[in-house]
Amino acid sequence: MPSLFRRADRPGPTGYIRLIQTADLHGSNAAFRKFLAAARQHGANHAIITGDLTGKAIVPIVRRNGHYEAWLFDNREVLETEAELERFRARVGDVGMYDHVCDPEEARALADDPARLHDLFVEKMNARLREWLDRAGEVLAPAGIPLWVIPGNDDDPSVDPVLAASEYARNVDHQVVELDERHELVSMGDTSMTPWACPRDYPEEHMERVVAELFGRVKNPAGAIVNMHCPPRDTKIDQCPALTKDLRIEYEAGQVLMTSAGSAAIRRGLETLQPVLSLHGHIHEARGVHRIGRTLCLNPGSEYAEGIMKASIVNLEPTRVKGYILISG
Amino acid sequence: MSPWLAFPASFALVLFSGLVAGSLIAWIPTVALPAFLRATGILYQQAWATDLATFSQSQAGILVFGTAGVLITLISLFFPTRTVVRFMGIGFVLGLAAWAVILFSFATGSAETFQANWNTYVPGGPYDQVIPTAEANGLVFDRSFENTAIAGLIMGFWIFYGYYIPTFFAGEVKEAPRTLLWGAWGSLAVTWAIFTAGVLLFTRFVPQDWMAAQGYLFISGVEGFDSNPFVTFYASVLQPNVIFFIIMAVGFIYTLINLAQTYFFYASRIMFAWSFDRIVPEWISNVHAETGSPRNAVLLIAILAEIGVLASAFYSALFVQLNFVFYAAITMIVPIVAAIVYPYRKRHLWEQGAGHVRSMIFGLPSMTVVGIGTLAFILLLVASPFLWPAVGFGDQQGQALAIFGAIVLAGLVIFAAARWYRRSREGIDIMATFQEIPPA
Repeated sequence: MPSLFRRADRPGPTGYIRLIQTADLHGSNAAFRKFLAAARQHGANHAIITGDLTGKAIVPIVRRNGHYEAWLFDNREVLETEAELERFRARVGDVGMYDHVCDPEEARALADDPARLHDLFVEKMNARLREWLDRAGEVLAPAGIPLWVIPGNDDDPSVDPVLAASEYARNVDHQVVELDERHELVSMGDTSMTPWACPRDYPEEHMERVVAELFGRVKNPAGAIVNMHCPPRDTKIDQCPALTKDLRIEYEAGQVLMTSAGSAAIRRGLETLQPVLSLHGHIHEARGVHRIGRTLCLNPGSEYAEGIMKASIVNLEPTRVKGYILISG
Repeated sequence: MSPWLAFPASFALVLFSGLVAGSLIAWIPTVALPAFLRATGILYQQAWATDLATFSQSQAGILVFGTAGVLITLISLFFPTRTVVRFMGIGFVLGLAAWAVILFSFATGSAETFQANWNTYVPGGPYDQVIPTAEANGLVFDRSFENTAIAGLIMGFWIFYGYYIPTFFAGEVKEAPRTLLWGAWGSLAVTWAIFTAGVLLFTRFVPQDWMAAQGYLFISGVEGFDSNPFVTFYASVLQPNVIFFIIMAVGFIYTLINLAQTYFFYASRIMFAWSFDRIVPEWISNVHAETGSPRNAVLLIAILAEIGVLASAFYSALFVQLNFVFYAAITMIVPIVAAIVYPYRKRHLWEQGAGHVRSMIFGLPSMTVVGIGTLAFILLLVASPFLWPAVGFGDQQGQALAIFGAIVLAGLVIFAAARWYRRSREGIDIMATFQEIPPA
């Protein structure tokens, strides 16, 4: 495998550290496992996942007359053999969904009972997250790459105990932690309100208060790394399609009307604190870079539903970003 | 495919797209505006109009009007995409209106009217002398089906390219998987209907040989014999009416700006992507906070377009465009081959694509089948300037190839330099953007 970095540039006591960051994996096994591989392949010193770990849908695989039937992305799939079933389940996992093999009666019962469906969803979601965290330990521990994780607005509160129970990954939501003597990581998974009223959506007043409280704990702003799921408002990395009241995409002159979906509180906080780096996610289509004063803000974007991993790699000196790149694989 | 192939190809495409955008704008002072002015001047005996037409076609005129066109295009691209689309929507209406006038003129015309008016408006190129003069200057008619069909395919590049361009900014197109296809097929059908109607109506009283001779005389630049092989001029000859002249002039000039806008549009987006991939400086991907327009990238394309205007003034707009067909066709080989092999080289990604991406034709992935057909067409275009020099470089094959080679080499050098710079100064390798990562 070709090396991304020159040996001469390897981090040392007076050199730089390398971060690899991703967000919005949304349960995609393929994207998560690629992220772990990328952390090793690119020689990262720290791996960061900036929220939205869990998937959004269950795909029922209905057992019927000796075969299985399912729908995925509007395509009807008929699975004749156990091997086909296993391949399909892997595909479902790679695109961030959870499979559930059941008979037609159970499928109907689940559809008619939202509470039961929710319980099943939580069970599947947390089971996959546990698998991920275990796998992260297996892959990253030998390379000595710590994994810093926060939940995002889509992540059900039930993931918190799962993250807390991890022996390797560390949930740093609402915390300021030291990566080394020069860099603090300031993390938060809460986001501004979205039209979907997700578990961790909050009004701007809440965001303002939490951001102020977290930023107030930073000892060395010049070397601080902000790690917040929600991007700052009115930036290139918070642009998403505007929605009508009935949640349809708004068009004007045949074009998707774009709007800002980031947090004004985070923006104001960054303008004041001026950390060296600010890592975000949340808006999948707003992959990119934005500068707020001296702060480099990054959103790696997300294409989890295609099993594609998107991440940012940052070479970080004590108070300066030496270099960065957005990768995709 | 390799970034070492992809970047020089896209670099050459952007460079030539900028140049050809300038040459398309140069059609305004060389064809669209003079056709209107000359017809108006002759019909209403206004010497200033014919003088202005002559100036417009001169080197100075092309520079003045061409530069104005580049500036208009540049400023229009500073607006948000939806505003640019509105500009184009207006152009669609104006363009259809111009064609309606042309078709009406053809439908109501007759051989007698055309010949009599032609001789009045083009005294320097009498109707009856067109074919003999062209033959005396080397025109040999080839009416074989094969050559006619191939010549049609070569010119069909512009139609193909017109519907290919939106894929460059599919992310900015509404419901791209559905509308791109409908848009392409729909506009192909409209274009086909317009062109077919025009040909059927006009050839009722003007022979194809005569039209071919007009084209030959114009391209050959036969001195002392005037030629105007443009449908707008033919329509003006048939229906000498200033209202019609204005509708056609406005329609064609406006849509030529629209055409240049599409080139500015996609070329600036490609440039934006280079910056995103850290091949060129970050400031190129800056977008305006309110409009979202990548103004720096658009400005760079405008500079290229101005060079295209200069090339059109000192060579010819047609020469620049014919060369572009060759250059663009070569650069397209890279993405087309990539599309052909994608379902095999990136099978897991292809399998996770949307339904239409994974569709099959004759047991093969549809993108592979369509890619093979497109590749055959593109290879014909690449070969055509050598097989039929008249539709390409003429006697300047060596020069054209040298220019292309130099551009590709420059692309390679830029990519290598960018890689070296990022590695040595920032500790990153831009190749990481393109690397596949096997899951752990």
